Amino acid sequence: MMGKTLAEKILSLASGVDAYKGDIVVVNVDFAMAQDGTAPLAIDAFKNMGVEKVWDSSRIALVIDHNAPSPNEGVSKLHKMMREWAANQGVRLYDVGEGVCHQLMMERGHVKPGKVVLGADSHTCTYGALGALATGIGSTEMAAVFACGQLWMRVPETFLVVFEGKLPKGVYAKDMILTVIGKVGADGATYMAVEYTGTTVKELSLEGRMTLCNMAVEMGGKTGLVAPDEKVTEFLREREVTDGYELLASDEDAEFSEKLEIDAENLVPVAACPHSVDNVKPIEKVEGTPVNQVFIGTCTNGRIEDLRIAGRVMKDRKVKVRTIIVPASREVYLKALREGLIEAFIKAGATVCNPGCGPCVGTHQGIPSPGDVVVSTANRNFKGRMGCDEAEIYLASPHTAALAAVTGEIRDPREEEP
Amino acid sequence: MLPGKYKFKTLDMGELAKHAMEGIDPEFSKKVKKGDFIVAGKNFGCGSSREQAPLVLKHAGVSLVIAESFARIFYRNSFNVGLPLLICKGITKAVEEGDELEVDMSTGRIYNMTRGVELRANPIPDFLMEIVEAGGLSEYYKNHGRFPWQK
Ligand code: SF4
Repeated sequence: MMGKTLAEKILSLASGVDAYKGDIVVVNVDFAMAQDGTAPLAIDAFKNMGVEKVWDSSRIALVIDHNAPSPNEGVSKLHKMMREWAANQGVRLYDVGEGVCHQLMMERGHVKPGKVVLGADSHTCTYGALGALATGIGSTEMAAVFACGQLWMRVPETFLVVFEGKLPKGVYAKDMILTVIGKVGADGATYMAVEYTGTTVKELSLEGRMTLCNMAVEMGGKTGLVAPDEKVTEFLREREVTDGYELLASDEDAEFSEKLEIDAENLVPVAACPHSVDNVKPIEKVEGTPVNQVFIGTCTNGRIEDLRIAGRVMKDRKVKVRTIIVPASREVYLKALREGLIEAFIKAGATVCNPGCGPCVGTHQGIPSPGDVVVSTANRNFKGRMGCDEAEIYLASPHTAALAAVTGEIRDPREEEP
Repeated sequence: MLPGKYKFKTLDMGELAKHAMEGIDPEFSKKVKKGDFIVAGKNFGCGSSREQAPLVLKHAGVSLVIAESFARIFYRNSFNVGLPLLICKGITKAVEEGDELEVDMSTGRIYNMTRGVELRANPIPDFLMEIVEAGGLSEYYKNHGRFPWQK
């Protein structure tokens, strides 16, 4: 018997077939999610299909995060429609202010290792940090999943990324993943599962692993994955999830389609420069670039670990540019409050917005103007991403972003230890 | 495909279709005719999990997109809204704007009538063609009372 990758094992379990890469299988979905940009269409499609009841109301959640609170009447109507449908179906809805859908899915214990989780959002792949095979699908497919709890999937090839060694100071998970994307390109892992492994990944916090998995889709990946370990069990225990999951890992003799080995000790802080996420340069190359706006948040880097780094940089200093900070969830926000981080941000002159997607997708809460240079901790920087075609977006770690906030320019985070 | 600023405003596809591909060619929605093909390069559809992207193309009159490769979610979404896609290596070099193409989706044969060149795309799996023929996944379900992957 040929060894299996983690992705092949999960999809075999979910489909009941002995599945290998390239096979098309029908999987049982463990949990499904849609957000306010995709749920209205999914609900429309669901109604249009003429289905009365969802397959299992306890395995579905809707989240209002992309436009929360609503910036206009049109959006408000869509939100209302989501609330009514959720109430009717007995489906859980996370309303305005709860946080970014992906953060909530993981924090609220909806994601279990070894399971298939689908979301109507590209960055569903984040949950691979918990050892689930999670990927984004469209609204009509989501309606089908709501109706029957199953979906066809192609078993992906696996792209193995191995990081060995200790990360230098000032270098973070964000720099690791941006470096990988810079090397393989925005379509370098198209249709593949990207599995991260090695001593560096083992040492990373779960939050750091979420950052790695979050951006797998930025190289075309179907999902990101890290073999779950005790850090995952601990995270789940805190959320009272103690059983009903499996900790799986790729076999030694599994077949990986591509492999990239990276010596973590040689990594440097980097930034993805305008206007594509694979335009990655060492921070030295862009040092001194004047900045107009800084954004710290999102499903990539809006967690407590990220806010702690930003807090250490910004404490007792004043921001020189517009700085918008958005905690990824209510839980993160409350922790940041208790730890005095929010006070530090406000005293520094930053704006703290409610948990949610914030300005990430460019519909509200901080749309830059033409010519503005933005340093953001998000995952995408193509033209128009933040709502303005002529803004220049640099993607970087929370450390680099916070340093840009207090100095007004892009600086090398290794110069200043927070 | 569709500038982000329009995405959340309305679910009216006719209205949204007027802004299709605006970022690349502001005249796109005026030029495109019913039955037209789009020929594109790598990773077409990159950057959105929303179905508005293929939906606006379909509503603008596009009947098929042929590209070197597609973003994964865009690929799935397109079939589910009834817009077929073909993956064809080398297509960008073999076709120019205005060329007339003859395409057989079940075999993947693409013939450029203007230039007399033939290319091979990956054929479309049967069950995806069934979805396209029904006019999309919703229509398929309405016609059959089940999804194509359900026995
Ligand atoms: S934070 Fe940004 S990338 Fe993440 S789900 Fe929200 S809009 Fe998408």
